[in-house]
Amino acid sequence: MNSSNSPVALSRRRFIPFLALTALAALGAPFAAHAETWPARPLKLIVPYPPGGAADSVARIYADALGESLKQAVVVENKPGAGTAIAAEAVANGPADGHTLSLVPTGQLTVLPHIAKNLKFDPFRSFAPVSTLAFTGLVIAANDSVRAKNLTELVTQAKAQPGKLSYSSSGSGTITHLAGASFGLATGADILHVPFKGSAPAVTAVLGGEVNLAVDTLTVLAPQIRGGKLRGLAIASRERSPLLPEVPTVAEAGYPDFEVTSWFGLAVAAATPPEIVARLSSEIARAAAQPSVREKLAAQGLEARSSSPEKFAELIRNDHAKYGRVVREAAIRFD
Amino acid sequence: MELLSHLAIGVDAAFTGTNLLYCFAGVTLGTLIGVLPGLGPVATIAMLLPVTYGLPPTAALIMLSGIYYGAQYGGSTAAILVNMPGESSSVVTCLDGHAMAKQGRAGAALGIAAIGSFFAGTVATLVVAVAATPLAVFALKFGPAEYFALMVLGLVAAVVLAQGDILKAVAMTLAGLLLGLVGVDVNSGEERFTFGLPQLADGISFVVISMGVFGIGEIIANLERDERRDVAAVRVGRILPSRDDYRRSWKPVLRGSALGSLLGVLPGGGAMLGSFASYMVEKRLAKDPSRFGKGAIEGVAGPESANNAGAQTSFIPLLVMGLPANAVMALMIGAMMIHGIVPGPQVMSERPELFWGVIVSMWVGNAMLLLLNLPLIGVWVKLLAVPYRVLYPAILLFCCIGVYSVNNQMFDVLLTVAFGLLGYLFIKLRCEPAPLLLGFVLGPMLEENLRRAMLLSRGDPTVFLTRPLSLALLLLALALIVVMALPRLRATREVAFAEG
Repeated sequence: MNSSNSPVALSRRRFIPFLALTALAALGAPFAAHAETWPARPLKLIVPYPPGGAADSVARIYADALGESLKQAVVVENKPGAGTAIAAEAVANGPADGHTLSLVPTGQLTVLPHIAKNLKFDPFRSFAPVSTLAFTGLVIAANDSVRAKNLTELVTQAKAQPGKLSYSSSGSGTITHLAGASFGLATGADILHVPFKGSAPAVTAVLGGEVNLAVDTLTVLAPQIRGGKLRGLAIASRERSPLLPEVPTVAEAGYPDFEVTSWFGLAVAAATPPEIVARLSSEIARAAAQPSVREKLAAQGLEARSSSPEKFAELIRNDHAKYGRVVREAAIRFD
Repeated sequence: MELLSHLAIGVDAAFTGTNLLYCFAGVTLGTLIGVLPGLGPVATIAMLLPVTYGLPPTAALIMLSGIYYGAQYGGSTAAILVNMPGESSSVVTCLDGHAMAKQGRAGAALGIAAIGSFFAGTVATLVVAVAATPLAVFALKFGPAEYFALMVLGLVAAVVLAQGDILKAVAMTLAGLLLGLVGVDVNSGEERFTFGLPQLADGISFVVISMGVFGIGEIIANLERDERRDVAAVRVGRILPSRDDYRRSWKPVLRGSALGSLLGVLPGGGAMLGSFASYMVEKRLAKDPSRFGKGAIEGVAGPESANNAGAQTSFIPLLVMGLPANAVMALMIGAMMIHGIVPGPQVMSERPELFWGVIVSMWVGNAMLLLLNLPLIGVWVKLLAVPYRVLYPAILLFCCIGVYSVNNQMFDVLLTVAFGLLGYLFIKLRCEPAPLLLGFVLGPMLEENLRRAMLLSRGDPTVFLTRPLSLALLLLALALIVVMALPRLRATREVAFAEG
């Protein structure tokens, strides 16, 4: 579909030599010289979800801050579809001149490659990681139909009645599903997975008593827990959250290695000049330290946290390995 | 009395100069994008989200909600004038609304749509103010089994939409169900009928099908006809509904408002279910059901009231529980979060000025919409006199922009063209596209909830019969089948006797 923009298409016209040369020069130039003049035009930040969710809002908050410090507009473009694969493919196979940025949610590079077929990108080779942007914990919450007051009791109850309890996720293969499946594997509790199309219906089903447990991010569940509609049993992060200080971590409840964190990061196409990646990474670090950015994210249960490109690459590798194991052991397959 | 003090807080918040201004800006913009085929409130609100950073949160929410219900007013204009339902809730408006326009009664159709919408908006605002919490509880009672039963009822009733051959209506409904299957299956995560195309993984977008089958198909079909005859057919006629129109419409408006308010609370197809249910009820209650589909004003008044009421009450899950019922509400949550307001059950008590301000602004916005839309009717109706060679390219252009804006994908535009050709084929075969769209919207919800209910009952199918709400809805569906089949059976028997 994009072949019409290629130099081949141009060269078919009558003034072949001149056009072909300029076109080739324009294509070849960015790799050599453009790091100094970057950003030459407004940047595009591709978000793999429709507007309105946590990913979109992280993108918009950083796009604002980046736009100010780079003196160039950063335009958020929502490209939802195929479990975030469409956006990833667009960035991986797009121009590598540092003007197209990709908002990377946890599952895009660490879960999707294990479960989807025919992806037109490689989680490691197609992208140059830039920095992490924000983190949020995953929470296990229960409605009144669950007697258990804490995680240990929940595991006991689930083991006593295998398959009786159920949890809702925001979709098959999402990080909420992976968190539920990891929990089952780690504790041996047999809890039925009920997938929904997104967080809102998943939480509604738990509020309405159709499903017993909700597994979702702090962003989604903290308001329901603070509003007294659901009971927070545990948070799957390494530390407790200031949003829900009374909810213990899964590790505290006796599963020390258990951690599932949802994060958002920034990446660009792999061939982007390293100087541009470094510059972007330092601008993100500056943005993540701004009180206004931190406050806006904190209100949504998100913690602003930047990292070096290397650290972000390491996070992707580790989570990729971790979720690969969960997908295999819990036999999550899409085929 | 508590209600009065709450409303007073709301009036205080809504009637400040700034908020009135943003309310007006919102409803005006909403009307505009509603009128332009294909451009919907989701894309518009998404584009405007950054603008609201700088506004106080109440003003931001008032403006964004104004865009949403303003688009419901404008959406009916596109449906009536050019037979293009931009939103699923205006599909049924096309049936009789566009038929009225063809008879030169576009003004009456637009007028009754605006007046009915205003009345329904007023009722629904009161409903939200008085009964938000109990209605939210009612919505929670709707589990997968109840949704399944409701969808069964909806699909059975889809046949009511058919104007001609019942068999064709059933076939179109089934075709719609099949189109709805395209995409990733929610329960297993498997891709179905995607031909390996990632663009199809999330299914076909409603806008693509409705713009293609209704809009582009109609345009192609019109190219065959003699232009002069068609323009002449659209005499501008009287702008406002006649006394007789009001007499026929007031009951449908009342019933539509009630149905819309109730069904709008349900997450998913709220406003659409309301407008469809209202059409079904009006056609059933009418003394002469054969008028429907040929320009019956009841078929515009009822559904238009219902979809506006539904649009308003679909705020209830958001305002009471912090849970969005549709894509527009998800954007509202985004807007609230940008301002540091965490949507959830606590918003009502912690930010009463926001909660009640938005509710009161809905009524204010509806009043503004009425004042804005009645004088505009004359302008819209004159649009019909624009020669096709100018009007159609413009409509096609807006269609393309609108379809592209949903997912930012060229693929969707090409798919719309393909559905346009299909729509032309349907017109040639005299197959009504409305049942197709209903099957397309209801089918995936039917399947998803059937399988979810079975998953939760651990494979026990009696769950649909042991839950009272679900049982009642299924019995209603059965009754409907019997009622529809009886006259036919009797008729065939009479024919048989006559021949014997």
